[in-house]
Amino acid sequence: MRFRLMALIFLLSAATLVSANLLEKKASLNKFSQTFPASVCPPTGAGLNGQVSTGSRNTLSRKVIRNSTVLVPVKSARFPVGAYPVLLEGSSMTSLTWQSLSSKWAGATLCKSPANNEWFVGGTGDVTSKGRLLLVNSGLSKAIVDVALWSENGPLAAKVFTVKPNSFSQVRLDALAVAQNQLVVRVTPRSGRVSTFMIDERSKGLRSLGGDFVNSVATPKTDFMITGIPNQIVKSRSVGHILRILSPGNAKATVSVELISSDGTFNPVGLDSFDVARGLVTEVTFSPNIQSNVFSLHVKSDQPILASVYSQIVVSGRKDFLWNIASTQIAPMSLGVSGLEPTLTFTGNQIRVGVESHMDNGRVSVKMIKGTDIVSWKVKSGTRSIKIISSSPGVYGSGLVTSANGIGTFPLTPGSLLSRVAIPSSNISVINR
Amino acid sequence: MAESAKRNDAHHVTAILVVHDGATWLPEVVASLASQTRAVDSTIAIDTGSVDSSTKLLRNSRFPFVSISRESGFGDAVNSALENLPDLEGEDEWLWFIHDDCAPANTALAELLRAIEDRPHVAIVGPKLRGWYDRTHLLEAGVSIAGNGARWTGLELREYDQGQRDGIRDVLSVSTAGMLVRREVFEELGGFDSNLSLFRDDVDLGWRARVAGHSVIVATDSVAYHAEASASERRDVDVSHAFLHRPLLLDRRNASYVLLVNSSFWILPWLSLRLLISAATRSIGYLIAKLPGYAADEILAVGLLLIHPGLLLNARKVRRSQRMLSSRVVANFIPPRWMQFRLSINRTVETLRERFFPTPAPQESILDPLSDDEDLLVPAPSRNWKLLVIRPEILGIVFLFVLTALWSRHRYGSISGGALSTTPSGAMDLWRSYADSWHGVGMGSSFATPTWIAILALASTLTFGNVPLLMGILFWISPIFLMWSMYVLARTFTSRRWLAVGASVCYALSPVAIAAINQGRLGTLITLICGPIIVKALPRLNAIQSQSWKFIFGLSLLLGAVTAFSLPFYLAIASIFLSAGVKDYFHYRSHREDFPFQERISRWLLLLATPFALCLPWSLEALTHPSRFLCEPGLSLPGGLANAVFLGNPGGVGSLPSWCVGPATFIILISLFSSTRARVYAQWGFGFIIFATLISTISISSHGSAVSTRVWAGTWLTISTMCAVISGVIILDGLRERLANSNIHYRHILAGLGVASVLVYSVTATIWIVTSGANSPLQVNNISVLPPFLGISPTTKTLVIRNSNSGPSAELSFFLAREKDALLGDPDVAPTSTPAVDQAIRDLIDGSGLTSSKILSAHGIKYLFMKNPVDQQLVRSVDGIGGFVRNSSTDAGIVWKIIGPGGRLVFTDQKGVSTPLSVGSINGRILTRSSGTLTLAENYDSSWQIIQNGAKLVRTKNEYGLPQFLAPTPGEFFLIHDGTVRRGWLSLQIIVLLSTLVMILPAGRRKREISVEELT
Repeated sequence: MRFRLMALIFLLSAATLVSANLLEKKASLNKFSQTFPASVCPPTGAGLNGQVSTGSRNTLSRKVIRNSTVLVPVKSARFPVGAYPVLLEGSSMTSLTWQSLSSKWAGATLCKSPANNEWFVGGTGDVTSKGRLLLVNSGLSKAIVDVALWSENGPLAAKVFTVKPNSFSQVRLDALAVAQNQLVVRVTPRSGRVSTFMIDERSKGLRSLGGDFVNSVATPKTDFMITGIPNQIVKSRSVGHILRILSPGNAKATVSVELISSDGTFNPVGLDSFDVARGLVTEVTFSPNIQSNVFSLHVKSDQPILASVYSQIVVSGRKDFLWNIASTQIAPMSLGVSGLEPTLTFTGNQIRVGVESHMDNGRVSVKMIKGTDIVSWKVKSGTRSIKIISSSPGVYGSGLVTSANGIGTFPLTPGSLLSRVAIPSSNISVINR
Repeated sequence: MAESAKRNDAHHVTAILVVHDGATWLPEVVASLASQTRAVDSTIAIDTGSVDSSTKLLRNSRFPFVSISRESGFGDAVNSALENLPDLEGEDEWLWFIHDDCAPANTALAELLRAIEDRPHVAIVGPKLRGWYDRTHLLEAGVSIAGNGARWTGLELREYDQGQRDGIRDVLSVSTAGMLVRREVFEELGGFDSNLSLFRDDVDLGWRARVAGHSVIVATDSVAYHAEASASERRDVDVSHAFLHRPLLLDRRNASYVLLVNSSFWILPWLSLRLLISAATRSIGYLIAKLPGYAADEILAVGLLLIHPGLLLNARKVRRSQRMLSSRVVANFIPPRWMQFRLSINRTVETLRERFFPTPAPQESILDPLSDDEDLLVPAPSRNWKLLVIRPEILGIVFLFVLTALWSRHRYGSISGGALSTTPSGAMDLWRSYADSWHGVGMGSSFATPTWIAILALASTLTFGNVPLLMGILFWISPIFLMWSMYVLARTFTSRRWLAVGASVCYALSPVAIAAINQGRLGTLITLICGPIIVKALPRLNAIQSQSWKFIFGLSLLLGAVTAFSLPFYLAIASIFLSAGVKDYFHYRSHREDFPFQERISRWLLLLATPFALCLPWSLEALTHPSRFLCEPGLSLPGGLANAVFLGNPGGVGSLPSWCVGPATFIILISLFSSTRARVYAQWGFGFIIFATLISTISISSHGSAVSTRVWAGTWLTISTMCAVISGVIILDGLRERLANSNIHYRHILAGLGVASVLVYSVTATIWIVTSGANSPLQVNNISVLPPFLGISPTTKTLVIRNSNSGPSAELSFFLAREKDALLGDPDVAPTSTPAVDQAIRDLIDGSGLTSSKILSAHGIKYLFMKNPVDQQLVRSVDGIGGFVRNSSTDAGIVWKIIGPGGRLVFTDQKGVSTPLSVGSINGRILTRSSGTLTLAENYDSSWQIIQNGAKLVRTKNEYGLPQFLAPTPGEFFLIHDGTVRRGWLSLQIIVLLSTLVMILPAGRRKREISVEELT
């Protein structure tokens, strides 16, 4: 009798627990919406030619202009951009902007979604400067943007700009930082849907000194890679490069730089360990004695710093320059490259990057790029878009585009990241302490 | 006989004996008349149609008597006697009125005559009246009337006659029982008022004699014994003026009559008002005492007079003609109000004292009378403070006090968090919330406010209306309350104090108690506190048919109080009562003859229905929202997983961690094998554990949350925890002795394991409580969610969006705030979400809602507040979508102003121009200058009305389902939410509550139910 009772209790308990665990539903029914935010391509300045390479002719777009809110298909995988920025519907495809001033300079940048913090390491405010900062507000309410500046003389007075809804504002760098040679600019929108672009264009009198887009980085870091720096050899010597560094924190930074090239990996003389004062933009000129036409820098610091490399290039007998910025690790992404044949440079200890090429004729090919330290790969002609489908860890990359007008570089980073937005639900708890 | 008595005075005394069914007392009355030391000169008896043996007795007494009709009053009888008396010219004739239930002492007449001997101005003299049965009981020594109509004797309740009132003194009047009145004056005054057939005729006569310039005295050396048969309802009142033949009705009617016809004209309004108020007050008192007949008598008595004003006017006219002095001459004999009040207080205190602290019966001693030897044997009382301090109850309380002081270190102040919303500062806020028919929560709702809000408001009287203080004290002191209530229960199962206290402390620190306190679970906490008291009463329900209605209603009230806080508790208790009722039914079918089915089932139904009715209309509303029977009061907070629940831990944030396992389930499982009654409790406990485990797998959305949350099983675990504690106490009581006298077997092992599990749990739970357990959701929190500048107007709606978590598990939620954070009770009345608003917010957040601002504005939402930490992508989405203008960005969060009219009430003219109108939080007055439509940004409800010139405007629904009114002409309008239905329900609830209270309070007795020994 006692054993029967014991068995009954055991069975009842077990049945309850089993059925309860089977029945138990996860209480949180939170749902998420995953979308790619719309990205913005910069306007083309007066006298410039600007095209955007997008992966699909069905991509929806609209001009960022006061009354324009209707999205229409671009109709072409590469389309010209006028005096107004262009908003592209959110998608996994990152579009590439290529702008050039005939026979003077060219530059590349990614069309990107709004960011709440962007650092631009590049540009100048001296007499040669024709550079500008483009603040694009693709939102339908006005944007208030804080612009903080640093130069070789230390931090400059921050400025606040208001950008009207669905419009853009252009600020000259020499007006922003009068007579300052070496600039680092931080843009933090207080409100609005703001995407910022910087163009560093220089001239001396009527003679163009070249120009380029200065691409942005999100945050200062203590360890990063500047990838795909073109190294032009003139008379067996490198033309020379300038490393611009800022330690925006409250302490000086001790920096060491390692050069990675197909000629080997080493610490260039003078760059193995040096101090960077806090708040002062510092430039270090170096001319590596290597024969490789592309190299990367591995920068380490004891404080979070920002850095980029200014490189002068002579194209068709004319001077041009470009700014290479810190790269992010390679992650799966798609990039529209219609009409462009960029050379992709990857840096890392063991490089294994799978790239899928989508041709204009509809064919798709896959290439596995392998190597150590540094590898370059040129996108084939007739490629509409590429897709990085896999990558070994610790690999960084950038792209380099050359044309008759000049040379430009861009980071291999998605311009628009997949965002996950929780679908909200009504709950009175939100107004409880 | 009379002739033998000596006559030493010049008075001629005629005794008039009035008889009406007085056979019980008549022999003694006749004997007393015959044995007077001063003989009565003549006697006449008037029989008013007696139907008992009174006539026969009178005939035997040889008194001359006259029979008149049964409907005749006392005055009629006296008049009839006077008609039959010879006119004694020149003699000082006195009439001595004797009731058939009043026996004068043999010296009564002599003493009365002695008193008037040297007082020629005296027209009326009366004896001291004592009780018929208790002859030391002083009934009257003169009589008056109070301003409220009460018969005033100035005596205490059941005053013992020790001669304290003795002496000859002026009074307003004396009772007609034994009244000696000069015949000449009596006839001059016109005798008794024919409108006063019975009762108060004596006061009226005395009053008239006084204002006619005569004296009325009481001579206490003269004593009569009075049975007060009519007043104590020992015989029927058959007089013609007695409406419905109810003695109290006649008495009250006559009292009012006497006051209204004799008092000065200028005090009549005040007097009438006082009579009305006192009649109403006494009616309420009689209703509370469950004497509705008497209550009706009080009201009817005043009503009967008011419908006959001519009667009063004529009587006043007669008195005016007889009046020689001002009415003020009687002022000294009318008791002042303070004296009545003092006497009432004294009587109440004495009644209560006698009820709660009855005078102990004197102890009989074998050494009686007390001797010095006995004095030495009685131990001298002494207090050993050390023994008092180490009493287990005191130690238990001290332990919990210290523990709670550490545990609640973050709860010294205004607490909120967990399931407990912010507490309003004043009780008036709670009362207002309870009475309001419309609640400005979210888009508004007309849900009934739960009953616990009213109970809290009432309880906050203890803290002078300070609700936060009340809540702070309640949650702070609750462990001690829990211990004490369980101690009271445990003591019924064991005589061992240490065991009872240990079990009580374990109960106070049980997983469910800890979780309830840490999570601010008001419902479970009240269930935990009241549960043991209810369980203590449950065994009496085995013989429910023999339980008094008072007990049943008392238990129902307690169940109702707990139900008001916890509908899950009602679900549990209702299932128990229903199953008992069903069991009784089947038992009745098989044992039809000797089973008191009706008595039992009526009581079961009452226990089932009363708690439900006490919580009307909230409980009724729950029937249409059945998920509420699974919900606790306050914010929706998820409970724990089923496995934890099976182990007795209800789970959720702030509950005990999984490594601290309570022993309740283990003890219940052991007790299932017990051969004692612990097994019965264990079976119930096991049943509720199974039920709680299964129910904890359900997720429901309620109480202002659209998110489904796991049901909190704490209430049902409370019952199983109680069962576990009781089972443990029963098993452990005497276990040590039993085990010591038996060989080692599995019981020793189980007992050891049980005790060890309790000890391990107690230690680990205590350590956890004072360390990380103190960082519970329920804490002092004075920082408002809503920025102060958004709380300036109760009509301003702000959409609050907030991330409840960060990172990948972020849960984005929103709610509409009005002026302030969610207050106590708001979650319980929060409306279900509004689809249009929900969709607009979803569209806003995913960036697709180009019309979001328009929709939100149409719903009266003026601001969007995104509380920090904000999702920057979301911020960009709002910035980019249009219709939202940044207002501020602070540490608290970002505020956008929503473009659009955004008012609570918007007027749209015929051109389509919309203008927000200023209107109150619920009702208000508005003015328009043209015709158009008025749109109210509240959820649609049929009680919303806009009135213009007394007419209701046509109400429709607009495209978003909001109430819209067509205003055909400009002018002044009144917006109201008609709360008639709510008021009706509240009235019904009050009636149920009062009825229950009346049934619980001790019942009054009708006079005929009180023994004559007690009365006289």
